[in-house]
Amino acid sequence: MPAMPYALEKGPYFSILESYLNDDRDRAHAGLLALRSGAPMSEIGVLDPPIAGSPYGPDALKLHMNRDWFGLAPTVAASGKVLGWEEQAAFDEHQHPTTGFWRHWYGDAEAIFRETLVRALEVSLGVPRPSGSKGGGRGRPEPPTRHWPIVLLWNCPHPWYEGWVSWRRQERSGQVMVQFNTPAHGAPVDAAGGALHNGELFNSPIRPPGTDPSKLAPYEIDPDEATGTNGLWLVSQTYHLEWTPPTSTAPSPAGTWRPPTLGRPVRSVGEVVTVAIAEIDGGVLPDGRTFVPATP
Amino acid sequence: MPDLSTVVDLVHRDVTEGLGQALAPRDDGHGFALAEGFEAVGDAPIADRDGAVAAVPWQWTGVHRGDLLGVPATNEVVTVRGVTLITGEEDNELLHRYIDWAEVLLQLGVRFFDRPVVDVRRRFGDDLLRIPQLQRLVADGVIL
Repeated sequence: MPAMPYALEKGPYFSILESYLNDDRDRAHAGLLALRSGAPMSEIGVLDPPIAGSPYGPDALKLHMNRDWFGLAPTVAASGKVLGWEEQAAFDEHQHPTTGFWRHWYGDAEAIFRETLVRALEVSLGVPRPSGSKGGGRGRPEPPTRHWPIVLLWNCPHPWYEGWVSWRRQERSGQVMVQFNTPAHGAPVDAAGGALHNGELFNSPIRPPGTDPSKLAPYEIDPDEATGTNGLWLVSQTYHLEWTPPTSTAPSPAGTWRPPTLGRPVRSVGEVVTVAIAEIDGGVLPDGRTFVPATP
Repeated sequence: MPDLSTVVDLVHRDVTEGLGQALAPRDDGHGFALAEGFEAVGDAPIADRDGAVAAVPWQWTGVHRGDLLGVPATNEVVTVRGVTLITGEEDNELLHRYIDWAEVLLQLGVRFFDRPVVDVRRRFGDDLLRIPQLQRLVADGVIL
């Protein structure tokens, strides 16, 4: 499943979700109503069509979302077909201390993700909350009055799971910004070996020059201009050099303590570079990705 | 070999100097105590057969009033547990301190939510050094 070598990403899956939310107002409104009514996030249609270039089909992506992101357990028929999803097991500090593939955190990721999208869509569409409801309400739907584009980003790691929604009204339109902050994750390496890395952070935005460009699009160091309709740039120093302080257990005379540090300290070195992040590393294609509904 | 009659006091002074600023002794004056587990097995210190190495399990309980592991004062009561091995000769001892810092961090309320950082050169190999920005860092001796 998608790896995450940086602390922030959009990547192909959020690109598709953005297209689903932004390209068709009626579809966005239908998605809002479905999410409010409790439809599983994996079943509102966004994951139904195959994603070009992805080694994972719709079923694998739904499994990833429900199992790894939300901690849900599949109900499986004798044939192996997934029939539905059950709530995660109750918190147990020994048997079930975490949700999905998040580390050191247990909670209702599905509800947070759902409510964040519901809130973002309500802002985007100018739709008020259903009267008397607090999220997931089933009040009489109000028609959309606008359709501001929604930008999605994912930040990791964070101590717990949360969604942020911000917006800015402009003269004739507006913009909605959504950021999910999640705990650290350990993406299981699948049997096909598709995952390059396993929840690791790379200590430089630089990538090898010999890599097949078709696999790193639109990777570029210090781009001259913003091309296309989408972009995600990272600005940082070239290299984040970790250094190892002396061990705290080295023998020394009395009164010469050397307490340890909390992890290896970092010294960022080199020039400040701007890097257009490859889509496979969490960036976006210049023309984005377009959600095309699956044909029945 | 260390003088077994004085090593507990030696460790006591060492721990006081190391932790006393960060963890102020409690009002009852019992900031330093031998670990309970040690008391169950015999008198401190524990020594190897020829007396070349002595071990003093200890704990220090205090109020967190100063910087500890980079964490500013929380005013929480914190207990630090450790074992100090003493080698060397009398009046020239060397102390090896093995302390359960992970437990201390837990008591301080520090959460671990990091991801392992991987060196891109380990991941991608020295092919990366063809990038001018990295070549300059190597030329300057900043990275090896």
